[in-house]
Amino acid sequence: MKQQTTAQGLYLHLPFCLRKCFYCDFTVRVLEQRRQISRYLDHLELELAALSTLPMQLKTLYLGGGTPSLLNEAEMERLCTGLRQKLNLTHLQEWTLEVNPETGSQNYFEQCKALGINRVSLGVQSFQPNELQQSGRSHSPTDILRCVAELRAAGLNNISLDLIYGLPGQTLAAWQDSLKQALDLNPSHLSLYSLEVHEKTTWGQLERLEKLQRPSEESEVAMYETACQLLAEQGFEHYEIANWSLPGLASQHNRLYWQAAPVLALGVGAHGYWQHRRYANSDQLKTYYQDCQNQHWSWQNTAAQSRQDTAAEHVILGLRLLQVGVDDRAFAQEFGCSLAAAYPKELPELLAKGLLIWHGKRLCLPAEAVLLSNEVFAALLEPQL
Amino acid sequence: MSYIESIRNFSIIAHIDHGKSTLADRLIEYTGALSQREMVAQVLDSLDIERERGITIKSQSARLNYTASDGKPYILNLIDTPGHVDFTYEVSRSLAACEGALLIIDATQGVEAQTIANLYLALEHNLEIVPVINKIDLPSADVERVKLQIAELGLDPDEVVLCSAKEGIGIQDLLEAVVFRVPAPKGDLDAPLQALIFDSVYDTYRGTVVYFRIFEGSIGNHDKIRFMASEKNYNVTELGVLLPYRTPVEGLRAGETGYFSAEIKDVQHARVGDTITHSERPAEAAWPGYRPAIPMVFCGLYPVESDDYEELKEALNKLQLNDAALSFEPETSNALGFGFRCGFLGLLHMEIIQERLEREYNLSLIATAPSVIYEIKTVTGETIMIDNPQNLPLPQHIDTMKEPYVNVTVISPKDYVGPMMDLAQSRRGIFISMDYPTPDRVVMHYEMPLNEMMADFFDQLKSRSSGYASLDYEMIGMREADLVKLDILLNGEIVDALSVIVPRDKAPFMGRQLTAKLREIIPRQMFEIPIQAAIGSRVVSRETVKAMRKNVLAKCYGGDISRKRKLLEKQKAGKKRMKQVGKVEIPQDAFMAVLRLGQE
Repeated sequence: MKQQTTAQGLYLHLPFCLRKCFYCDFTVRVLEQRRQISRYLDHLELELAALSTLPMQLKTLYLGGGTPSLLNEAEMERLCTGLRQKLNLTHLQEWTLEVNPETGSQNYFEQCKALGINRVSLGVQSFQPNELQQSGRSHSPTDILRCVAELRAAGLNNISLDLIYGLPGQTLAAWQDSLKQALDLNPSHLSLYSLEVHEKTTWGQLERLEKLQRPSEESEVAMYETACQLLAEQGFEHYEIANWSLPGLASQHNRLYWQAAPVLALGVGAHGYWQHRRYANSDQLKTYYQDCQNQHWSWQNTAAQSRQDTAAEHVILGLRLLQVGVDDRAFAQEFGCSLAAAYPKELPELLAKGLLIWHGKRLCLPAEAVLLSNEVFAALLEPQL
Repeated sequence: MSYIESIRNFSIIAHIDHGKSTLADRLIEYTGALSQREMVAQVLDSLDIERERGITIKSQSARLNYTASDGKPYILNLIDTPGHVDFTYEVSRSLAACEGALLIIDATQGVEAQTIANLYLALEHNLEIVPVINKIDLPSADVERVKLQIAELGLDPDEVVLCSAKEGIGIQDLLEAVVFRVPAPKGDLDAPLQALIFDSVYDTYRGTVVYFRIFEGSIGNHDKIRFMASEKNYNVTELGVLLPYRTPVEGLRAGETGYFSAEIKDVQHARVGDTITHSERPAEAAWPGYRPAIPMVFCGLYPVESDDYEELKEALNKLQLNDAALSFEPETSNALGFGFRCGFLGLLHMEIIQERLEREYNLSLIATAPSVIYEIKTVTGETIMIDNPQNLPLPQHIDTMKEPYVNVTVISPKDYVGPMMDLAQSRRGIFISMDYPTPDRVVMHYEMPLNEMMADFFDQLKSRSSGYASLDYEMIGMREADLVKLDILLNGEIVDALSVIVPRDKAPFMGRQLTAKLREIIPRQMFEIPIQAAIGSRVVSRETVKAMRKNVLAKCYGGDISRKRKLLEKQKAGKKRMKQVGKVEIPQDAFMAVLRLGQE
């Protein structure tokens, strides 16, 4: 089995936002009073104290949300200092902060840098004023430009931008424009997400009433293909289903997820993976607080997944890294049989349909199959070990 | 009073939903056969599906002890009957075991098609009929109107018993009517044994348990008996009565009902309607009326996973132990692989079997659209029967074709006569007659191909009459018809399991409807799928399922891998319900598409 005891990454969730975006299905609370944050930090510290006793050699730290950059300077300092005191960060290579364009300032970002943060993931989503407004975002295109300028001024140059395609009313031309504006900002990394509409969101409700005008599947495919082409021209490597980076600047933290490496998680609704346990903290603040007070930790109270599930995830997650794929020998070493033996029926079928491809000993998802990857993954859920 | 004078054997007959099962419960409860605590609603409907659907499929009976107003103790044997037209034969065997019947009529609904059909069935067996108006407590009850209808049926409206099974009103009156109006059985204790099987159930420990009524002679525990139709001999290992739980006794005599088990491993040896006699001293003749169950509706059942074939076979074998009317034999389909051609008494019977296979045996099944049996005379003068469109000979080899016809009775309020006639006509119905038993009620008789009833005839009947019309049908034989086979091609290949036999003049129209329906049902796949309907080599319609272009989950959600996984598992589960035919994945619904053509 892989090194499963020593955690290599840590995700920390900060759930507060100024408002909730219409598509958002994540653990998010609207910030109403400042003391919500200090109360939350109190509990995070309780969890951190307990979690810090686990064996870890952290390479990556990720402050996600929500809007982590809603923390003011004092709060951010409190949080990061706490992390530095409790955790051994000597091996840390990447410390990412999620930032929303309407937050922060040059001073703020300078402080972040001083605290150890060396990468920023900026929630841009779109450069079109109407799209931003109609998605319930709190920022304008101008905010994006300002924010990036301040980040750079503060010396935070490893910047990733998030964009969404398939937004209601979005045209191919608008998407191309957003992409170009994004590229003009010289990001080192781009995450392009196809819109997912979830039932319990504003848009989910609208869709149920048949009042959400989403682009056709064909246009979404065209948006994706345009993006592939444009980013390739600019020297970006399409290294994961939804992620592109300049050479050497892929997100190390997300890569840990795709490699099924142990990544711990802190905070409400946070998901971690440790010793083959996929554990999740409660996504209700009240319950999370009680758990913290009662020292009731989800990593202790979650059963380890079966070997079959571990193997399935090894394959499904591994295939997401398009160039890396799943190494047959590594799979055999860990699970005792070849991929062909684990999927006697599925593998030949998927290979024949061109949905999978061998690069030497590595099984990979070909570029043409990226948009149909769920079809591939669903077929690989039950390996025979 | 001799023992036989204290016995009453009776059934309860009714149109579906008129409250038969509730009334049976109430009689059992009133006579104390079961304490309140033991009463589960509708104890007599023992299968889960029966309870869910509120209908009785397998009949059960109960022996009730009742002291009547004359102060004497009586034994009332309630013989429950199945409540659907598919089981007419089973109903007739139950009635044959009785001297009287309670005819239940819903005070709000009045006389319905099955009320009449069941009444005639009971009269054929010379039963004393006690008309009962149930649900008199309901605000919409119209007792006087129902009494008029009862008079129209030739029964005495003054002899009607009023009750509400739900509220327990009139239960004692009913029991008194059973005692004083239903005749006591007759029978010669010393004659050779003649007992009629009116039901049988399979019990894992005891084998087939036979429910019977003795007409002549007597039977004792450990007797050596013979089933006269199957000519099989067995030793009785347990003899008893139903209270309603099985309770062993040492002997039973003419006029009584009871059960026995005899380690009967094959349900075919002891079929409903057969006569039981003693091996050593057999009766001269069997009790009249026996006929083997004849399946009328057929469909192919295939496991979605071909590995499940043996399990399906095993499950069908087990179900057949309890259900002599179910027939099956292996068949193969190019599209679906190895499966079974199964024969059923009717559509409901078919549905029930499918549901039990999926629920009780946890099998994932593909069922083909039901078919009737066709009689084909070939040009060489041979007569062959086919129950599967796949086996239809080539047109040039067919001289004539016949299909089964049924006599359909529809009863409807007069306001809906127009829509009812339209419906019957659109289903190739031939009008026979129309009566007005009461001024506001119409009884229509049609002759119609059984095949036309397969689809949504019943649903349409209900929806076009706001639920007021009712239906009954019986077989009347085979008739000549001009039919062709309509094939469906997916991705250019014929999917044999989708072929249907249809009237020649309707074929192009049905082809168009069927391809359109399939386009809705077949989910998009990774390539474009042409759907064609063809008669022979002539394509009559074409539709296309566009290729799926995108199915991807991009967002990582802070490492929430379980969320991705759940979504994938849901997708996979959806696929499990589909059958891969060639390159195309076909959902179960597609095979039933032909049944739902009339809905638009």
